[in-house]
Amino acid sequence: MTEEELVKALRKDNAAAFEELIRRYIRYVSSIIGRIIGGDPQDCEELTYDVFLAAWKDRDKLNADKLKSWLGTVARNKAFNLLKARRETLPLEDDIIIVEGSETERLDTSMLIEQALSQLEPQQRELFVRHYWYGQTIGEAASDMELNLSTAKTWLSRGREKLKEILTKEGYTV
Amino acid sequence: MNKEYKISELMENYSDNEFFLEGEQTVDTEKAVSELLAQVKPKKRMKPMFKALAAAAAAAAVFAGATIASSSIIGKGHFTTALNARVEYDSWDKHEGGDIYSHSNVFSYETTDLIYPTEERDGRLIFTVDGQNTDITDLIDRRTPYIYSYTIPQTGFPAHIIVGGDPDDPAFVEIICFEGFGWSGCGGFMNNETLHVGDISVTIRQYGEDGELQFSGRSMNNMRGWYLSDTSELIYYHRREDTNGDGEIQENEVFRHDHKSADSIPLTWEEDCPDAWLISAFLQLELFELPDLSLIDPVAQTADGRVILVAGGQNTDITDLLSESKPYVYAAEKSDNNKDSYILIGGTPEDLGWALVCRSNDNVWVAAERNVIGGGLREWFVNGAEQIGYDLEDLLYTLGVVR
Repeated sequence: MTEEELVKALRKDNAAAFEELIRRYIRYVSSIIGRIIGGDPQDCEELTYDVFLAAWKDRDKLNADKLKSWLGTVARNKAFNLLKARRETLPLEDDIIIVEGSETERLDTSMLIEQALSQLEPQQRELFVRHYWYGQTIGEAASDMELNLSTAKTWLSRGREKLKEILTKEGYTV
Repeated sequence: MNKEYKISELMENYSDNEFFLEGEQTVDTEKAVSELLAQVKPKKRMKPMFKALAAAAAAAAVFAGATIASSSIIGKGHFTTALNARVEYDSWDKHEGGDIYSHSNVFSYETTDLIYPTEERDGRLIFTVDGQNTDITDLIDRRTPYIYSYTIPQTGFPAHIIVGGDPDDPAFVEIICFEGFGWSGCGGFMNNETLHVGDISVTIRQYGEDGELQFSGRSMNNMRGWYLSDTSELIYYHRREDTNGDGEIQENEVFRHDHKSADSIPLTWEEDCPDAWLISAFLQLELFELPDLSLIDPVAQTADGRVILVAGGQNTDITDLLSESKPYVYAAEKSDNNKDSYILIGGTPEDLGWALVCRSNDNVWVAAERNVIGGGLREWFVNGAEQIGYDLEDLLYTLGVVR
């Protein structure tokens, strides 16, 4: 079943399609959640179920072209939100950017991130996404990408600099 | 004032469309499927009654009601032969007087020989499946089915083998279900007639009240719908078809049964109903969708042609409140499952029609009707749907009609 057929069937309240959705993406969804919140199986299970229930609830809005990325985003954000609720954080490298001045309005984060990442080399972008989006430690990400640790740290630093560069270009003082 | 932003939070609105990193699966798939499906079991859409009833009466291999993607592999049943279902063609039956079409997908199946699920041994009827032998001699009769349910390995679709009738002359049907898409019969043996699974038309036999065969003919998509009697306890089952083969459609009562509620099983049956076991099975398997408002025909006419609405415990003369273009709209009380329902009544005393239309969450459907499509789609129905804010095309879909 193609993604388009799957989404179409979901919109017709097709339970078999929902089952297919689960089987197809449960590894992706649960691995994102597991990596971010750690190994508590009950929490992983609960959040994973929440993601698929969210997909079912919003099945009329699902885009077949972006189905997997939608699921991944929901999974990732639910996991981070759980950490936030527990006042826990992931040990992410230099995760803070300080914006000076009196800007009180929210940054247009999606645009800034897209711009910054698009200007990185693919491997640097991958590392950045692995660390800051998927929540991998630098060590894990470096290992998976067969980089040495110092290279990984350097690349991440470049990513952060790029982000600051974009912020500055948009008129923010970083 | 300085503000701190976490990069990881800035990435909240980012979606990874590039890397899709998969790690170790942390949740059991089968448990997830089981628990999630239990939470989202979809509400059944109201399907046109005639689709289910066609199957009940004829137990034929091919039904217009099953809607699956073309060339879907539905799997091989135990005893029947539906190996591959294909939409042979879309059947469009144009109604006179307008651009209204009844639409059905007509399927054909690749077939092999029919294998019987039962055999006689020492005067007993044995159901044989997967090496198991079950003595069902005392478990079936003309009203009582034996149902064997299983899952087709290739697709995971649920399937049922239904055996019923007299133990010394049993009949059976195999049904494959497509959750959310309906179901299809894929073969069987009914009333001394072998069903031709590869055929795309259906042989129907009509029995009178004395159990005698009245006629045998071929037709498709011939079921009309449910009508409830004056008592609101008895349901008549009518079949519209060209009984005499002369091109004229007659409406003939096939059988009746006493019905207390959509959930009441067992049912009582007229002695002469040869298909009672199959109807029971269909109700048990929830392959029928019965209207769950106990509505009798909501209008009666007096001798001088006045139209009386009989609803809500009152009789109301509505003759002057309806016309061919403008319906009388009666809002029925909310039923237990919180369904909105209206009765639209329109036309003239000489040519009256009505429709019971329901809505539950996002679904709308026509639960029962009379004369909504007579010489074309009735204007009162179209205007009535607009008046109550129900999507006309969705309503027509549940009647098996598209424009």
